[in-house]
Amino acid sequence: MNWEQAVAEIESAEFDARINVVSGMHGFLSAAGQQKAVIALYREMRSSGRVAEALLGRIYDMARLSVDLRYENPKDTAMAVLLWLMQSTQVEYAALAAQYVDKAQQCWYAKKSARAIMFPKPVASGDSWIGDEAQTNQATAVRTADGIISLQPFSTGQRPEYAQIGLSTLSTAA
Amino acid sequence: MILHGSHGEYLIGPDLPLSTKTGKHIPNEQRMPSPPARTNAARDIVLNGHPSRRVRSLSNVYNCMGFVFASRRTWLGTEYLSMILQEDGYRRILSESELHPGDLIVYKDAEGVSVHVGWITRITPNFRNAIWEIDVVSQWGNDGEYFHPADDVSPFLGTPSEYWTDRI
Repeated sequence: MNWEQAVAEIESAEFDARINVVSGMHGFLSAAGQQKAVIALYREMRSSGRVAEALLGRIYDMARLSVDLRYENPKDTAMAVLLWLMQSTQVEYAALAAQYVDKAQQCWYAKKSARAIMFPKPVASGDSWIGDEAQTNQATAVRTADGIISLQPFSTGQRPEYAQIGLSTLSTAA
Repeated sequence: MILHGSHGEYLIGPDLPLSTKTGKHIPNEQRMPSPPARTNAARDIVLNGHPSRRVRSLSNVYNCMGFVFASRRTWLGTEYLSMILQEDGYRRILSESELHPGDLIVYKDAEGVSVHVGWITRITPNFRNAIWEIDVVSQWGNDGEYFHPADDVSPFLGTPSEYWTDRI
């Protein structure tokens, strides 16, 4: 699966439905990290800056799409997953991508992911859930001798070592 | 609280005035309905190859926690489950033979974290295999509300781990 095919899969309604069976950000990212398309795209982004640039453009386009205001943004899941991968592989692009996504309409996980990148502390006044849960958006690769088998988000409880562990783990991943 | 953007679009919220029996606020957030294409894809994925599952509703403005604790009105995080069970006076049931319809079933992931909750609708003795067959109704994240056997859920929803009741 090349990166274009992976992105097409991640943008599909089927992918969206498959991982939205869970109820929170940590579960959402855990489910996403077990999808073949996500793992394939992670590998491509690790090996090529060109892919990250292309995805930044794709995120920009998705964030500007007009949506039916009666419904949630159909690209919510795709933007959240791409932001997660960008934050995990190309941090320098993630902040810009988060600003694009933050302007997208009718989002759920994507908005929480963008806000977590833009404002690392909890953002909703009087409500620690929204901010705290969204802090889980950096991937660590779980590997076997055969290579990466899944990507896992860090839990809120690991926050003190968040940046250090995340970057060192990712730097040794395939 | 509902936050709207400069063009009137939905940003965050609303947070309903939801609390435990002791008055502790439970943070929550209502979610927008999914587009029909997504809703239909979710139904197909959940039901395909699982004849024992049945749709009750494809609404997604609530999650499993909102289904059980907030009358299907909003989303609340599963991290509040322990607090709610304690503050609302639930007690754990250790034997399946003591279960009644209306009791809660809690699902946990491989790390022992609570990730899903549902209502028990029926408990049937299976004499041939010496087990209790437990039927449940629960909301599957953003993918709709389903009737299903207790152990027939998406792998992302964990495994049946605990039973709780507020019966006196």
